[in-house]
Amino acid sequence: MAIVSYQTSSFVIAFVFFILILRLIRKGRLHEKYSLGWFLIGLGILFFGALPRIIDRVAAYLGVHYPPILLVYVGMGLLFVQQLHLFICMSKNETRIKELAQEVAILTKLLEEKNEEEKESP
Amino acid sequence: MDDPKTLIVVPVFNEWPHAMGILEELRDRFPHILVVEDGSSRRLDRKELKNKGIHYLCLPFNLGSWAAIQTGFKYALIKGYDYVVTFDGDGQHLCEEIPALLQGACQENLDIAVGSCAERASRLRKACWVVLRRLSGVTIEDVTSGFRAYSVRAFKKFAEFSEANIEYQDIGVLLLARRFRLRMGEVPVRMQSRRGGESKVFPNLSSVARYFLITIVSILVKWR
Repeated sequence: MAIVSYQTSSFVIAFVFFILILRLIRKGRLHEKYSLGWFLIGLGILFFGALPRIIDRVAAYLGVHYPPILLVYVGMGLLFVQQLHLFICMSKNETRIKELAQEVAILTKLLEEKNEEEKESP
Repeated sequence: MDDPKTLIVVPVFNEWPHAMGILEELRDRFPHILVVEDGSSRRLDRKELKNKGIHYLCLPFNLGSWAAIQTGFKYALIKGYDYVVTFDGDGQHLCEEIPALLQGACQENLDIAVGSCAERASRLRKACWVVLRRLSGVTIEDVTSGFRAYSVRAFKKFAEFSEANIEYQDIGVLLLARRFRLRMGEVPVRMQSRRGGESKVFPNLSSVARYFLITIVSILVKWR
């Protein structure tokens, strides 16, 4: 016999996640441009956490016989898309960092050359 | 123009002190040498290089050999060179072969002249070359050779194409060159077994496997 109902535990977990997302946005650990997306994700988690039985209904509507698998399926799909997006961002950032590092190296060199020229002909 | 302005780019990564002897040898023959240090933990002596008249660029952290070469391209572009020769600091490439490479590039009007040496390869390596050549359709035999001459047309393209984040500076570069419609060719040269330091690209077997797989994927994705 469970002490707390399944609905309560799912709500508590969802609520903790929601608060975590809010705090991260407030402290600026999540940049503003990502805040909307994550806020919506937080709301979604809260909604399904509070009313987990909705999933059963949706599953029945979509013809999925085993409702929890719907959650797993959708969750994995979202994670995959997000992961791909992250790797694209990472590749882009790596290119930018590389460009910057190269610029810094070249600028340092050019500055050195300029200083030397000035030393030679004051 | 009978005497094109040429910059010799030597990417080094933890190759001190072997690199110094090679750089001195280069210095005696060619006026413009650029060492690109790829964020080594053991830095080359800046003052010593300066006294010897060798140009020196230092990347703040390790970016890989191709990015180091690309930095050399960018510098060469700013300074208005006509040719860039990439030359390994590990003693594999011979500086007396540079004129032959440049001559080959000029005579045949090549944008990329690859200095190739068939003798240096083991049987396994040759088999790899064959597979990579077949898959990619690149006709150059020694696809892994880093001893190359790039014309200004070629290195301008590579310097300005920032997405050229190539892991290995061999076949990926040649594929990109084909996309840019650059003229590629091969010049037979002599090479030496490495004097010091281990191969940057292939320190062990798993890195060879990684190289091979990454290259095959890039070939498959970037088909003609």
